[in-house]
Order: sequence, then structure tokens, then C-alpha cells
Amino acid sequence: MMHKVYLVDDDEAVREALAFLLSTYGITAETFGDPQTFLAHVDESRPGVLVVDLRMPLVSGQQLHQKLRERDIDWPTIMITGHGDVAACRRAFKSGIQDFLTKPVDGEVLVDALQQAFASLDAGLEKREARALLARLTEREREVLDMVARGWASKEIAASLEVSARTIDAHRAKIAEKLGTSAVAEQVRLALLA
Amino acid sequence: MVMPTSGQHQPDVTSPLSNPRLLGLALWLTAMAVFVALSVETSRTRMADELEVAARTLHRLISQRVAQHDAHLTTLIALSSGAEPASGGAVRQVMESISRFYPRIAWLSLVSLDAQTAAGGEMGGSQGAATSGSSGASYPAGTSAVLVREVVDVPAGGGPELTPLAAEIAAQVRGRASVYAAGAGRYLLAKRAPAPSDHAVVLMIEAARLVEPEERPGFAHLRISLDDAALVDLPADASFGPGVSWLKPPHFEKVIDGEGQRLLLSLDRSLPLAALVPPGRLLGFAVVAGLLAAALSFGLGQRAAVKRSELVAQAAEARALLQERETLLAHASRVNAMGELASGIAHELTQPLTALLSRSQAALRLSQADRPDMAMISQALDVNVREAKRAGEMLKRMRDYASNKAPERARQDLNAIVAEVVALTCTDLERRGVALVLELGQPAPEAVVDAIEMEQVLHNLIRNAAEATGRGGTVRIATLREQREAKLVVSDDGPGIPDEVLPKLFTPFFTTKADGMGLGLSLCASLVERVDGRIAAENAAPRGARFTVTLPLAGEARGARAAAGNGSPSAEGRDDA
Repeated sequence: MMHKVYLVDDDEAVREALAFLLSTYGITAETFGDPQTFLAHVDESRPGVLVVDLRMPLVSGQQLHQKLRERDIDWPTIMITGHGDVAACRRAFKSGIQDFLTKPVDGEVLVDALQQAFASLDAGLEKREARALLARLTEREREVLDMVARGWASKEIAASLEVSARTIDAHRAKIAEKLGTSAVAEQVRLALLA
Repeated sequence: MVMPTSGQHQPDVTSPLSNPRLLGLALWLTAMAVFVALSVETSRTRMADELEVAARTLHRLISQRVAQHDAHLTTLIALSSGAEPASGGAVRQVMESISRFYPRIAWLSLVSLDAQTAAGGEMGGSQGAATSGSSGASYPAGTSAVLVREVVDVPAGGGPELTPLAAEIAAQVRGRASVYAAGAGRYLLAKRAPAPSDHAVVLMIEAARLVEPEERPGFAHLRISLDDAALVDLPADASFGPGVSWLKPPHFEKVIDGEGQRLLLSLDRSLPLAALVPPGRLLGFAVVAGLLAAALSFGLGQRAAVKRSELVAQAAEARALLQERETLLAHASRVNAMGELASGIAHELTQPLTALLSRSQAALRLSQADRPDMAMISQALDVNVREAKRAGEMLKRMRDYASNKAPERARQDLNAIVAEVVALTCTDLERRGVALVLELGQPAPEAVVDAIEMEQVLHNLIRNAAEATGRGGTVRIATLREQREAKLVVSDDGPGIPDEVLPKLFTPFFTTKADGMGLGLSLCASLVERVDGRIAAENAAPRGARFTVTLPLAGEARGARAAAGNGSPSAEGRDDA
């Protein structure tokens, strides 16, 4: 699945050129002239990778990243900047920036960074999904799932929790129902993702 | 309002003595004074010497003449009273011949001093002759009357009555002549014959004739006096005017040898101004000295003129040097500012470069496709060309701003200058979080300036304003026409300028910034004054500072163009360097 790219740069020429370049790689970019417009239009249901100019009037790329975090949107962000500013670069990475590229940006480099970002976005989405599923479980069910993930058999779990094996089985059936899969491998993957 | 003072000084060439005319006049007057003083001194000395010489000659002549009188007396006494006295006729004959030869001897007389006691006296006299005492020859005291009997006189009866003098003559020492006043410029000279004779010879001398007319120095007042009574009193000739009162006149005074040493010769010479300072010579000297002074004055004038033109040339040179230094400083300051702007400008250049690179790569990828979309590629390249030109313009702007080419004055659109500076500084202002508001007057005001220098002035003002107002503030740039002037106004909404700082704002090396050189605004003032403009700072209401650059509006600024022409030596100097 190919995700969207949200391109935020105050320079129209840069915006258009980058979008044009990405289009030749089959990547669709939505462009925004300033962070406020983007924030007004952002749709959580349409996740994507952000490509943001670090320095923009009024709201910087850094601030935009922060604001999205506040809204619990943690899509990967690639910062591009005309200034090889080491301090800004460090700050950006600390705040969880996906990548930091300097202008002018080479197409290959940008696309590579985007691919990684897409993977990261996918991973993030999966994790988010896993968390959402796991959140459905009761505390006891979660405990049981963790023990399953460690490779324990139902009997071992029952002994450990000082309940009957039947009770454990009942829990496991509930878990399979809630997670939407009866495959133990898939259940374990979700448990580890979260 | 603060009007910065110009640092250019005019040479001062107007000290009083450097005026050649005054100096010439002063020299001439001094020369005249020295000439008069020397002339007076030499003339006085010469006139005194002349008087001395004339007087001594005269004294000698008179003394010689007087000595003759004694000789005549002796001769006549010898004739009349010798061992064989000559007859009266013979004495008369001698007397007549003397009278003839010596006109000054007005009368000659041989007298006999008869007294009642004369016989006794003669007896006593013979005794006394042996003793030859002074009193032995005298008549005894108590002799009341001496009878004077004239034996011979020439001319007969031509003399005065001798009776009143008889006693005195009789009392004379024998053989020694005595002098008596006789009135009317005459005196008597009497001598008694040796004992036992009772004769005496009396001569009457016309004192005036002791001096021959040709011997008398016309310039002197001549006096011959006897016992302070003037016998002869001959004033100087009328042609010798009265003397000056401030100089002691030469004076000669000497007793005539002979005649009992009783005649006094005195000569006085007045010192008339005309003699002391002869007008002709004075005039001649005045003319010569005047000509010399005029020549000197002219020479000095020429020299002063040369010196003055040298000073003017030096001043012009200094001014050119100052302008050259200001130009260098302006350039250095622009290069410095360019450093400050560098990151902003780099960003400004990065944008088109980024677009160029991306679009080029995209076009390249499109061209490598199986069926390239030529329309799209061509469009991409077209945009790229525009983008590259945009980057090129930015580079040119930078290069121009940082260049150190000689200032070149031309008619410039102030709005265009504002646009250039805004293009250079907008990124920097954005970074500082300072908003920029432009209020550009239409039609655009034009002025004859060097575009780069004016951009620099504006840049300085914008930067100061941005620093003053800080993040979140606003800087306004306005251009406008006001009568015959073009104005460029930069204002901010910062804290304004403290009153104590305002007057010093354009002074070199004055700064309120920790790391400032204090040259920015003073340089701005110099650059603006170069093109006949002025710069002023004031506080605006309700807050903030306002800087106004006022320039002569182009087309109405003939003076400015002429001034620009005069300013060119600095540019030429730079070319040579």
C-alpha cells in the first residue's frame, strides 16, 4: 500500500518541483504553503509522511511536528532545510523526526527516505492497531496472553495463576475472539508489537 | 532633528600679515619712518658740523683781526710815546693810513691823560715803573677827575666823548688793552703808553665789520657780544626758516682771543624741517620705496596666491582621500553586512536550487521512460529556466551589493532601491520575526544617487529598525515626494531613541550596541551628504523611531548633478589605486 506525502514549504517553486519529482516515482504529494493550512486540513484517517521545511515564517517545521504530536498524530516527518544547522538537526532528531535532509535535496535520497518513512508509518499503524486490539483485553486476559507469548502451555499458566486449566482456556477463547484471530503466532506478534 | 556636521575643513588663509597689500603698506611705512629718522639724524649732524666749521673759521678770522688791533695800538703808542715821539702829523698820517685800510676801525685817537696830580703821578710813575706794579701805574685814589686831552684823532671828532671813561682808562695797566662798550655796535679799545708817557691810544671798532659779509654763514644766527650786550646780532637769512621745536639746535660759543678776552662769538643754527628731511629726497625715497613695496607686495601676493591654490588643492586632495576612505569603509561595511545576511541569502538561493534540482531530476526520469511525455519535460525545463534566472538575479544583487566598484551617480528610482534591499533582507527579517510594511509612493520618487550606496543606507536603517523593534515588531519603509524633495522614511515601533542619544546619533564611533563600531549611521550620513541629501532621526508618536533620508528630487537637482561631477576625483583616484 502506497501512502500519501504531505509537503509543507513556503516556497511555491520548491513545493511544485518536489511534488513533480515525487510524481515521477508514483508518489502522490499534497502540497501546503504554510503549516497552519496543513493543520486545518489534516485528516487523521488519511495517514501519510510529512515533508516539511524547517524554517518557515510564523510556524516552523519543528513546531508543526510538535502540534501534530499534541493531536496524537505521529506520522513520520522528514525535515528539509536550506540551513545545515547542526543544532536544529539534533533538536529535530530528539523530538522524533524521521529524517533530516538539506536542500537542495537529491531525488534518490528523498525517495529512499520516504520509503523508510513509509515503512515506519506502516509499522506505526500496525503498532497502533495492535495496541487498539490489546486494549480490548481485560487485565487477566492480557496476563494470560503474555504467558502464551512466553510459550507456556495452558496447564502451566493455570498452575502459575492457581486457577483451573478450563478457566485459562475460556480466557484464551475470549482473547482469540477479541483479537480477531485464533492463530497463536498472530496473537503473539500483536502482543510483542504493542 | 539632527544635522550631522561635515568633516571637511576649508583652509584658513586670512591672517592679517598674509594679506600682501597690508604687508606692503606696512613695509613702506616702516621704510619711510626709518628714512625720516636717519635723514633727521644725518642732517642734524651735518648741519652741526657745518656750523662748527664755519664758526671756527669765523672765530679764527675774527681773532686774527683782533690781533691786528693790538698791533696798531702798539705801533701808535710806539710812535707817539717813544724815546723820540713823532710829531702829531706823523701820527695822524699813520692813523689815516690805518683808517683807510681797516674800515672797521671807525676812529683812532691819541689822548693825553692830564690830571692835576699828573705830575706827581709821573714822579710816582717813574718810581712805579721800576717796580712795574699793577697799582704803580694807577692814579692815586681820590683822584676825582682825569682830564682827557685829545692829541690826534682820525677822523677828527669822529669818536665819542672819552671823559666818562678817562678814569678807567687811566686806571688801566700800562701795555695791556682794555675794551669798553661804545654803543651802536661799536666798542672802544684803549691802551696806555708805557711810563712815563701819559698817552693812551684809543681805537673805536665797528664790531659788525669784524666779519666780512661774505664770511658770514647765512644759515646761522651770528652774535658778537660784550658783557652780554650784543654788539652784532645778525639773524640767519630769511630763507632758512624757523627750526623744529623737538630737536636741540646746534650752538657754537667761543670767546674771541684778544681784546682782553671779552668778546664772545656765538652762532646758532635753526633746524628747519625742510632741511632735516629734504622734501625732494623724501619724495624720491617714497616713490622708490613705494615701488619696491609694491613689487614686494605683488611678489608676496603671487606667492600667497600660489600657496592658496596649493592649500585649495591640498584640501581637495584631503576631501578626495576622505571620500575614498568613506567609499572603502562603505564597501567594508557592506561586505560585513553581507556576512550577516549570508545565511538568509543562502536560503534564498537554496530555494531555486532545490526546485531546479528536483525538477531536473523529474524531467530526466520522464525522459528515460519508454514513451517520454515531451510536453511535460518541455514544461519542466521552461520552469527551470525561469527558476535559474531567479537564482541568477539573486546572485547579481549580492555581487553588486558586495562589489567595490567606484560609486556611480545616476538617476535612480527609490522604489526600485527599496525593492532590491527588501529582496536582500526579507529572509533575515523573517528569521528575526520582524514584519515589513512597504508604503511606496507613486509615481516613484527619483534622485541622483549611487544605487548601491543608497541601498546600503537603507539596509542600515532597516537593520537598526529591526534590531530596535525586535521579534513581533514591524518595520515600515515609505517613499514619497515632498515639493522638490524625495524622501525615504524608515520607521519602527520599538522603544524609540533616548533624548540624550539623539544628538550623537550620527557621530562617528558613537554606539549603543555592545558589539557595534558606531560607524553605521555616521557612514549613512556621509553617503547621503555626498549626494546633497540629509538624514535626520526623530522619535515617532506613539512609539518607535523614524529616520528620514531627504534627497533632491531628480530633474530638479541641477546642483546635485554638478556636485556629483565635483565628487568624481575620488572615483578617479580609486581607479588609479
